[in-house]
Amino acid sequence: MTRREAPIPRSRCCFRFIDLHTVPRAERLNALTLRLAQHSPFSEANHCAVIVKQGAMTWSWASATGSATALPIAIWQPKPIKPLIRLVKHDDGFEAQQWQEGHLRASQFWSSAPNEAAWQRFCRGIGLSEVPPLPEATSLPLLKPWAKNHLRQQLQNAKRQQQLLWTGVGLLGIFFSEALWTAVATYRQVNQLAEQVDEQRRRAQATLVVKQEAQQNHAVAQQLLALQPPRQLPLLMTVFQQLPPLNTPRIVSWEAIGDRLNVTISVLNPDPQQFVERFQTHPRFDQVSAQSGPLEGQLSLQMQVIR
Amino acid sequence: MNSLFFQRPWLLPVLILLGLGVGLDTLQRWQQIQLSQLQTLRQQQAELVTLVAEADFWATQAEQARRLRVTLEQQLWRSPTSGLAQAAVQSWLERLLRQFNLDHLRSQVATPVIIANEFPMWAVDMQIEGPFQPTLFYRLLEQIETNPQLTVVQNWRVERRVPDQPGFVSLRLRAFVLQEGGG
Repeated sequence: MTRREAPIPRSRCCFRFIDLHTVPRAERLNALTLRLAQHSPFSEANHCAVIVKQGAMTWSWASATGSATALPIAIWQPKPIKPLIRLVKHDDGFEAQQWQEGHLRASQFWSSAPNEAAWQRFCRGIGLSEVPPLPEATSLPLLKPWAKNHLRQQLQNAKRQQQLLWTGVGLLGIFFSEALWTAVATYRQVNQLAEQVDEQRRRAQATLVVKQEAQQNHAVAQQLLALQPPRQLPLLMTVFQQLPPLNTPRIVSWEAIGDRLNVTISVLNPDPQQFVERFQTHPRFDQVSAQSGPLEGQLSLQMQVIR
Repeated sequence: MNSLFFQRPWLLPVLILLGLGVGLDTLQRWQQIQLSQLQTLRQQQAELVTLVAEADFWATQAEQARRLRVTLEQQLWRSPTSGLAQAAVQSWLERLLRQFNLDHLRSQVATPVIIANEFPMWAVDMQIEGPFQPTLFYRLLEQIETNPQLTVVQNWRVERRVPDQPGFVSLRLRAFVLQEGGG
């Protein structure tokens, strides 16, 4: 709204106070829009509405008369604080106004000064039981507008809201399109790769069979090999070789269970550390331990045989 | 419907926004599934490429494993029934003891027991006990361990309680018998 825009003269617009007190607050704008369209005498009209507690002061004028951003002259003129009925003189005629609670409730325009009968009809029309005397018409100055066009503001807000929503739709649409494009591209890639993998699987089928056969035969061979514990005679020879040459040791007991070997040796002044060190350093033996045997002069050796 | 959208002009874009939001979420979930499949397929492809490249290697491995398996299977005893398996092992053991003049040793052959394996196979346990004569015993041990049919020494124990007296030997053997026609 710019202040330079000329006010709409009263002669070019029609006024109506639309009662909205029975309409829910959220629905008032829609109801107002419908009522304005019903009451406007113009085929293409612009409207100004100032929404108040009980309803809305509305002015309508032909689109050709003024733009939608213009305001009617009544809004430029000072409004009374107390309730009153007044006769306002305009450049192009006279207007009777009824003000209540700071709102313009009724208005009638005459192109020439109204006579007593016209004044009486106006007063009867607004429901007055006693007709006041015809007042002297007063000219009012044009000041700063005392109201905004709520209708236009609401419409602008609604329009802005719509624009925001549609911008959101557009942005989300772009994201959606991009995601769809990516998903479709991935889907194609998956299908293409699946075909390649199928083809490679067909080609590798023979090798796969050979591999499985090799693994199966290997597993069976390992099971069969696992059935054979370490051979005892070579093991016995190895143990003899590892015994210290001094003190003439003799084997008095031998027990081989799987990979565990327990040997008891008869020896003079046995030194467990010497025996353990000799056996532990041999690659065929691990976890070697030694302790005194059941009889004096005997040493028991325990060890794990490595295959 | 038209009046509904006319009275509530925000309704249409809001519905479209909701639809797009739900669609976007669904698309992203679908995309995750696709990416997961893609990764699996790439892994499979890499494995297949490696497998094809290793064709010669696996052919060699298969031949070696087959030969080893055949060789090892040929070392097993063979018998169609468990009774015959036990009898064959007992005959072999008695022959062996006679061969080394060790008839005085006590011997016993247990009932064959099926052992879990890739193919039906019995384990026949044997027990030999008696006085320990080192020379003969070691020759016997050598003969057992070099027997062409797989017979293993599971456990043997020599005890010499008095240093200058002959010891006592206890030997447990096991023969593995493959069921003929079973595997």
